[in-house]
Amino acid sequence: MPQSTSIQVADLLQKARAGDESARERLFAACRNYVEILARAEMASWLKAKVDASDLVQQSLLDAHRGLDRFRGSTEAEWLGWLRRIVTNNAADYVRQYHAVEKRRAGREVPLADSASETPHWQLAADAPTPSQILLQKERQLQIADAIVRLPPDYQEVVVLRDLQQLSFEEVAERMGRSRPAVQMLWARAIQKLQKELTGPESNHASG
Amino acid sequence: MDDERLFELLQEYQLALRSGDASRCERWLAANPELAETARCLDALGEFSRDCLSSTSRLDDVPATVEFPAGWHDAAAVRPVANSAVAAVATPSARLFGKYELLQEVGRGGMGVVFKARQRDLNRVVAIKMILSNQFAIESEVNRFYREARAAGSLRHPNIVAIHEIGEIDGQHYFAMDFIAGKSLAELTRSGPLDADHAARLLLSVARAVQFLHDHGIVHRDLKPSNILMDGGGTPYVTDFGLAKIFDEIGEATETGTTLGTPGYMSPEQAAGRVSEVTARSDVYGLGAVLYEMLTGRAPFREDSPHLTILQVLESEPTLPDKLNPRIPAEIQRICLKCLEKDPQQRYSQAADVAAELERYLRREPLEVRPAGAWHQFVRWVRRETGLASRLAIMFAAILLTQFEHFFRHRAWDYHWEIKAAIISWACLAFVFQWFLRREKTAEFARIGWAVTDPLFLLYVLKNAENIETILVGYPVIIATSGLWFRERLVMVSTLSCVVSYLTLLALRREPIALIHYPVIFVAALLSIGAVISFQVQRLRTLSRYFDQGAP
Repeated sequence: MPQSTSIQVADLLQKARAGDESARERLFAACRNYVEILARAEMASWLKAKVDASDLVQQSLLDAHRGLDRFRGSTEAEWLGWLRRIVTNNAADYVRQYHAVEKRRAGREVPLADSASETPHWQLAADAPTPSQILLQKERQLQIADAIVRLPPDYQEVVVLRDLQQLSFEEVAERMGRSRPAVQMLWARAIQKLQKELTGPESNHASG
Repeated sequence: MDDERLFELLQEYQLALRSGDASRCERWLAANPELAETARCLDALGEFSRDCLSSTSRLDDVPATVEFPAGWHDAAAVRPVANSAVAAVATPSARLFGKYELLQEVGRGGMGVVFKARQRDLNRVVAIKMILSNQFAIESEVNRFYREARAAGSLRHPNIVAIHEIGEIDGQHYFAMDFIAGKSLAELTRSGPLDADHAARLLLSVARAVQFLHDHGIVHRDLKPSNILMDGGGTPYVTDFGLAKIFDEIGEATETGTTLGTPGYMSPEQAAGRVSEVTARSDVYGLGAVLYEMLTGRAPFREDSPHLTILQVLESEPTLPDKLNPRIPAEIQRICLKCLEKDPQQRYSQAADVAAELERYLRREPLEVRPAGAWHQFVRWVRRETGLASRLAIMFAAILLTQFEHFFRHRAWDYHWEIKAAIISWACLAFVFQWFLRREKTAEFARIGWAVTDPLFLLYVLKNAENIETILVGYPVIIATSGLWFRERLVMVSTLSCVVSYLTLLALRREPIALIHYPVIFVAALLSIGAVISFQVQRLRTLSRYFDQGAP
């Protein structure tokens, strides 16, 4: 088992570039949740959670697959930065499209997808590091994204809105259609659960 | 722990984290060790969100088609949008920030984080100050920030830290400044007072730099030892000028307290929030505060909460520097106190005057500022040592009264001298307590001492008086006054010693008590006054804690 995801990602990157298909699969599998959380954070911000982020996720992963040959970095940080850029740019495209078709869409908005049930073939590689190692690392972006995705849907939503989007509790309450005290309690419980996901002994299972 | 309490604690930590206040985070962690893991979870989320989220204001810059030129990841390749990916990543392997390579974090403050960084195109070392994005609520504030920061950034002076660039990468606003390898003046004074001449020479350079800022229309507003950096050769550099103003005025968008600065060095007009009265003379006060700390090793005012410190800044006078450090020459103390005058009109009119005065001091020439007049010195003394002054005033009145009695009503000489002796020993004790009060370590002892001995002296007076009913009001007055220290414990000590003193009085006088319920009512009244005042003090402290956001 690799000692850290940095090594793992860098290693997978190198192999994937060299044409190792399974390394490529595992690389994208490891980053899938990360892209999803990014996409949801971006979408929540611009579209007020009225748009399913999964299109953005699929599009971004596809772009990353196609663009891998042109990626020149070698570290995990560079790789994640590259993914962030793709998501940001795609999100910007989506916003443009959204504004263009806003009127047509307005009547049939879909809620945030329950992401935990999607795309089973992007299972996280079984050799993910243990959580105690995770918290020792400074680079734990992938782990955080994985942990968020493992939370129940309403916990996920409150964390994305409050912590990633940095909305006030008023706004979070409004978006979630709940009272402010209810959202605050939900947030406190979500953070505790997230902490257990990041540190608890049971969290080494593959995520969905 | 219930969910509500948990929520409050977590939110407190998150607010501290978002305001970038590392010391507040540490205090929180020290107070809640059982939540350390949860706090790290919030740390991680904060990091994640900082790294991930681009600012929406940049939206229009994003190209419509996704395109990645070869070599884009090289941060030196200037592409404003493309730089975003490597921005502000706090990971060791990706410390590229635009054309800068972040080398190490060198400081944190309410406004942001400072990194030592290498500018890759010019290959020079600079300091990068990242401004927390949540400081800005709306776009127009960002624009104002740029306008004002550019004005400050165009200035060059041998004793100010030059700003090279102001910009934004990935929604992260930053300045690039000279990197000064060395300590701040605050670190220097931590190890004790400086030699008076050395302090004067340092402040001379600082005052000239501040005058230079004033000549360019910039008031520093946050002069304090930690904003004066010292290079290896001991040359001081003023930093963070002009920013306080920007942050003060947009302060409503920020968490309370984060832009408050350090109240201990703040001029009274700033502490009172009279923004329109803040002028160059406020910086003259700041120069005085810096000089005070260099001479004595501590800030002019220092209480256990920022709000109590502000009250001190507004109402009190700092302890005379030579009481803290007897080696301070009278001349430089005069310069220092002239800068620290409460009324801006009483201070030096400009920083250049302070510089000129310091030059005269260093050449051992007579100073321009004359010693303060007797009345002004008296007023300052009353403000500085209010506890002593008010007691002496009461004793003076008591002496006048007894003297009057002695002459016109021919009271017995023995009795007269007994009272006089009591008053004089009370006065001596008051001087002793005031001496203890000047030193932070013994101040609490002095306060408790006063709370215990005041009722004792009142007891002594009452023991021999004839009509004690009117003098009995002294007890409630003592209890009410003890509330002015803002310490519940002192109110309680004072109340209890008043009750004990009163009961002792009853025992000593051995007079037949006509109505047994009178003393009971009186004691009950004393206890309720004490309870009300202590409750009021407690409420004030709770409010103060709320606004200090979790400060212990």
